[in-house]
Amino acid sequence: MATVAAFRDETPSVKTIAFAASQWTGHLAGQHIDIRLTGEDGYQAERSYSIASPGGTAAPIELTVERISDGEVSPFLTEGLALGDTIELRGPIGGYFTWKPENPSPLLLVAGGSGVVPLMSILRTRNKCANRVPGRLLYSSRRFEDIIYREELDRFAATDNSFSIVHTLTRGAPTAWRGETRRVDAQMLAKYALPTAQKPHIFVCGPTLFVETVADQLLALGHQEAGIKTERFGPTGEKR
Amino acid sequence: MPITRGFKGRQTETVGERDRVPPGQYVTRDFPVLTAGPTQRTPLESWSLSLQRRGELISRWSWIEFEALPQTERTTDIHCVTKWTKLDTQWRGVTFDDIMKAAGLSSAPNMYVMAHCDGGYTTNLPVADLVDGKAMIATHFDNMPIPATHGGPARLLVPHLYFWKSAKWVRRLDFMDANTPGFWESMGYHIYGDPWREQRYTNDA
Amino acid sequence: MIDDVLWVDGNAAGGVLARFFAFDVTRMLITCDSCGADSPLGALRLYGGQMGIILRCTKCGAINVRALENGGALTLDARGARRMTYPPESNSS
Repeated sequence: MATVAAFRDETPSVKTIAFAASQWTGHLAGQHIDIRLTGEDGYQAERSYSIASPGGTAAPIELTVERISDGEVSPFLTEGLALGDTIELRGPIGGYFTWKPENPSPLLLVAGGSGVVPLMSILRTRNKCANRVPGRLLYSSRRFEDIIYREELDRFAATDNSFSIVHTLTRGAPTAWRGETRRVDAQMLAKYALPTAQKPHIFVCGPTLFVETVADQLLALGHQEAGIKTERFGPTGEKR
Repeated sequence: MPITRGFKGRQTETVGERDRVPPGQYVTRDFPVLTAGPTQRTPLESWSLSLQRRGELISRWSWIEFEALPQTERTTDIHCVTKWTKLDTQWRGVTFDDIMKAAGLSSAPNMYVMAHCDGGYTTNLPVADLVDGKAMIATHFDNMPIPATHGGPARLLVPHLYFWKSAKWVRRLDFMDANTPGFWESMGYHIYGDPWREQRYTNDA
Repeated sequence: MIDDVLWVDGNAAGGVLARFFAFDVTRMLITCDSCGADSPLGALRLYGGQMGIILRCTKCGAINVRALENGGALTLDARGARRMTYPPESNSS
């Protein structure tokens, strides 16, 4: 069981919820938790959410949830929860899609929308290290207002010479925008993906079609399958 | 189990619909797609439906032959074990009774049937739950050919049981002596699956 | 044609499967009994949605593992996995 400790608005449709959990043993960057909600009539709904806070044992655990308008769970989490409410939470889960600071490979992260959440856990974990491997984030969002963690990411890029971000917006950009303005495609990956010779550790996360396309194109560029880890959210953006 | 304050699941049924909804179900206006594997897309030229007895062929129909069999329309409610119920779904196809007649069978040679489908899915049923208009091989939903994602070109329709028994992409109906569990039944779903008795899992009454 | 938005990565099954195994099951290497390919469980294709867990080989599509939480009981069918190997902990995850 976990207790709601704080909220933070990230974008008009995305909110971070911080939970205090008494029996939390810590997590690795990239892991997720399963939430189970039970209505008064016994009806249950379960969803998985990636942990946004950096790896380690520190409380609170943060989840960043996108409100899907016709979703069953996300509207409740983003609008129905109050400070002090308790919910059933299981985890941390998944050692497959994880990153450890001891990994010496350069890091390439490719995010589609709310797929940036587990990748942010990786970046926040990396940020706490004294020796940081080179890292790049390629992040696709709908519009400028939809960029989750925008200011924190800008700070990382401004203060860390070994980290760079490429943003791309798919539904229109503000004037003076200097990022890309289309869906991630083969040309964009050829331009911004780290060279295959560096054998980067690659993490791709987002809606299923996005991850499919990006993973296929990375393979076509010559990246090794074993070096690419993927996390697909279902078609609506909810995991399972 | 701990109740989550303020959480309500999807509850969209109207007052008049309540007694059409089996216990533990909620009404949906969607048609959710659940699948154990990739969507099967069998071209009509390669499609056939076979009636078998313990693996031996009794009769087989090509798509053209199957579409020429007597067509029946049916409007019915369907209930998925994952708790959604959809009311007034409209189907067209060939009833199991008409399939037996077309195969020259006046009665079933065995008590049970295993439905075999493209992609490997199976489900077991008593013959008693297929005859007397209870079941059909459906080819149309809402007056349109059933899309592949929903089991087209043809799926079994046995609406009085949980919808996992209405097997998508059905290709063979094999009469058998024993009620051998199919794909989900062998994993712990109920061998029979009556939504009105809430027979979801093996040990449910 | 990409119609297979009906599956997600096996990693999402980690929560349910954790109840069968004492260690992180998503890192386990599964050897497909059909084609012999090796894959971490977290990378297999997870079908089944709310019906249950169906994990399929990414090379040949055969079912490697099935699992179901069935009303208080748990059932696991791993006959499609010829072998399961838990790799040693390493610094490169």
